[in-house]
Amino acid sequence: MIENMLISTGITVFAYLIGLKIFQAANRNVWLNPLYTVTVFLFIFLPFLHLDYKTYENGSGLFSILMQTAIVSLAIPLYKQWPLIKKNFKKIGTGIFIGGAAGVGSTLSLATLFGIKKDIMASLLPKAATLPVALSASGSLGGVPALTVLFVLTSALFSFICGPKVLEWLNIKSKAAKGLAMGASAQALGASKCLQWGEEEGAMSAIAMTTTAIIVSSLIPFYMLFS
Amino acid sequence: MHKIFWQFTLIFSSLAFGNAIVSIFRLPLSGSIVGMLLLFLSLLSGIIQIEWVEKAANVHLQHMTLLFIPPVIGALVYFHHIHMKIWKLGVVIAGSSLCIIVITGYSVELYEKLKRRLKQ
Repeated sequence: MIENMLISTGITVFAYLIGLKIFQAANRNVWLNPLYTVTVFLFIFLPFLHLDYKTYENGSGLFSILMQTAIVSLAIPLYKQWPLIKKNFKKIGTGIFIGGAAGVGSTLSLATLFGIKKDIMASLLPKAATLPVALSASGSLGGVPALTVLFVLTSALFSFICGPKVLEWLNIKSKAAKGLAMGASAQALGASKCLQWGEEEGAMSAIAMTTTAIIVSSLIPFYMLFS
Repeated sequence: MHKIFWQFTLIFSSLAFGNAIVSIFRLPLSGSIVGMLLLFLSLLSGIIQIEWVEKAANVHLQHMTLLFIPPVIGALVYFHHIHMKIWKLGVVIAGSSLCIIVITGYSVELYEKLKRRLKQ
């Protein structure tokens, strides 16, 4: 058991460090993000190391604990952004609450329309939250965490690619509106895009990311009460 | 290095407190969210100084990608086991993402416009 843990953790960290070096050498090209390169690398090479995926997953328990402390660490950016949040409290609150409810509501209605099964539905619902939060919410809803990861990442990527164009078509010019919309939908990817647009957009999207996570994770218990 | 270790211990203690509160009061929230709110409130009230946790938290958040690798590999493996039409999932994901962008964007802009009009 401990042996498994050492091997899984060791391989992952080692591959990540190499992936990070490549990412930095390539001037932080979005497509060379260690998340993609390292995952694909490990997915292909784990069988060569005579390590099946089940053993690897069983040994990766340390990472799920660290995921929880990562959520706790989000308190630090939230604290630093607090003056800006306090100043725009109603604006941010309105946008994120309505947007978050629309996200959960539209997922729920589309999934019901398509007759999607309960466990997959539970993995879909928290997808608007940042990954660590979505993962723990999916777990408590009875979803499949592995699927939630996939859903969170694809919806973030989709929003990251389409979001700026959609905002342009709708002629939304307000910096706060653009930042909040991108942060609420594409999380960290959205925040990186918004930082290129400007400081206010960047800060707003970072705020949207943390507050969406809080709102999604507090809306979900209500869903559990009614289902 | 040992400074980061102590800072991390503080973050971990917040998580432990969060988990304890969730199980004592049987809250429907996750322990990590409660832990985050606890740490946030401690920072706001000044019980904990930002310098005590900042460094470890920054390192932690900077390398958050590392933590996603095992679950993504799990997702790739699990993907073969979904017995349903992938396009349906695609429509749900795309549809609700667009919903979030459009509705958040519009409601914030509308709010700003209303506020400007009220001021005049």
